[in-house]
Amino acid sequence: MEEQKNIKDHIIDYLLDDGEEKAISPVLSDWLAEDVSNQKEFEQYKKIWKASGSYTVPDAYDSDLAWEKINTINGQRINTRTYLKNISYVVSGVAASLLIMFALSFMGVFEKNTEVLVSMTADYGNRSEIVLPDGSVVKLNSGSEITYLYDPKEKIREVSFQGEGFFDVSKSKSPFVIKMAGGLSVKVWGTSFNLQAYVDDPVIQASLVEGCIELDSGNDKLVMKPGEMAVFDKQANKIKQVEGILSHSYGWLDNKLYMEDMPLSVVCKYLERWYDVKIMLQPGLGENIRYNGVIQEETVTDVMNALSRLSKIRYHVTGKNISITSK
Amino acid sequence: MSDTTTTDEKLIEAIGRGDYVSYNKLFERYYTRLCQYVYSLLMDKSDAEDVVQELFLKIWKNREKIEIKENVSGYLYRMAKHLALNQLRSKVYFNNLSESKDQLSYEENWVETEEFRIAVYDCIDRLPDRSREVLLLHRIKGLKQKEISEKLQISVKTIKNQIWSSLQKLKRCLELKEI
Repeated sequence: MEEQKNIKDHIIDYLLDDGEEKAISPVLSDWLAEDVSNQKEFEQYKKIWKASGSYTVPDAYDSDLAWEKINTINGQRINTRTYLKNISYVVSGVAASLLIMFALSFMGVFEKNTEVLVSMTADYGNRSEIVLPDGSVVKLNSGSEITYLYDPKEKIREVSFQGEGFFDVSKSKSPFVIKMAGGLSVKVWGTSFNLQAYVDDPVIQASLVEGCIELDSGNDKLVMKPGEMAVFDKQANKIKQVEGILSHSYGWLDNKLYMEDMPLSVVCKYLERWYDVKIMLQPGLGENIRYNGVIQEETVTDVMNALSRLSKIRYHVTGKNISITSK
Repeated sequence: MSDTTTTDEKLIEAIGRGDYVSYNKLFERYYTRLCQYVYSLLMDKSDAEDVVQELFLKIWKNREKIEIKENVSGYLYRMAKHLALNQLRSKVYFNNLSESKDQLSYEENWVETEEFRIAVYDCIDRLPDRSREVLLLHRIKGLKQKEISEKLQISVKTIKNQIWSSLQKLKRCLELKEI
């Protein structure tokens, strides 16, 4: 029985060995030599271990989004009665307005040329991605929402947007228009760019990767070229170009937060959105402490650890609430 | 599993008659599994999803012509492999297809190791969340035992025990599937 207990450890150690040539310990070697059935068992573990290396969790795949795409391409309709019977599996995980659009498509409403308002939201703590009917892809950061009028006869080329998103807009002769709160609209022609337009921020920031976009606030206009970054001041109602490192503005796609002389108060605002937490800062601390660098962490506790190493702060987590004080 | 097989065949029949609801049922039943399989061939999640979506689109488009003479599951996996290989021709991947690059047609023989792999994925899906997490942190994310220990706040010994118990469960699950 002692042997048996040891064997398990030897087998595990063998499997967990990251080296090129895995080492078979003497104890393991003896055990294998004892009986053919031991060798068979060992082979089975090795096979299982190998196969597990290319496993992906089911959550890695968005079947609802895929069904959306497939459904659109198939252009199918089903009659009302069948839809009502099968609503349970069609509905799961889909945002309410997308469901409405589905339901209406199943009921043949689109045949009557009705327009439907569709919106996609990424809550705090979440991120999501949407493929618009014209093929444009928008990656939504936490706390964002995109809304558009779906018209099956015409390609939609106008959306309302708030929050932060990375847009990959399909090329087309007609411009794609994004309207935001604060009075700014962005016209794009086949581009990729990042847009940060949170309703509670005093500014809207745009960073253009490729293509061409035009910012329009009614009073002010700016045409941007690839590589450029611009900021719209909502209060002053002015658009101006700014200098910066382009890739930093969409670092969030890789879960990176780039900080260039960024005050702790601003860092906290990002954390609240990305992780859906509430942060209480000791008064004065938010402005006095500034960071330079980049953090890329999985959990909010990892981030807090990193920050408390970079600066003299102490933090305390209770569920979704974090309080930060000076050390 | 034999219940599902019969129903799968009924779904295909219904799809052939233009029943979109059955088509949706088939999609819900197989989409994720097929993605996991194609991922293991192409090692890219979004390419895997593209291939599986292409598969379903082809099924609907050719619904009147589809004739499946063996089990539906086998047919779908073979078709997925065929389409994945097509995808491969247009890109260069780090992939698991090296052993079967010659098998380009989906009428070819099923590769035993693939069947084993598919069964293992299904068994891993069935592991308790915590056990799966420990296994994957090492296997997929490449974390060392010490790193897992710090991340999950459990001892290295517990990790080893968990992995062993997961292995036993997987072995048992495969035995039940007769793989």
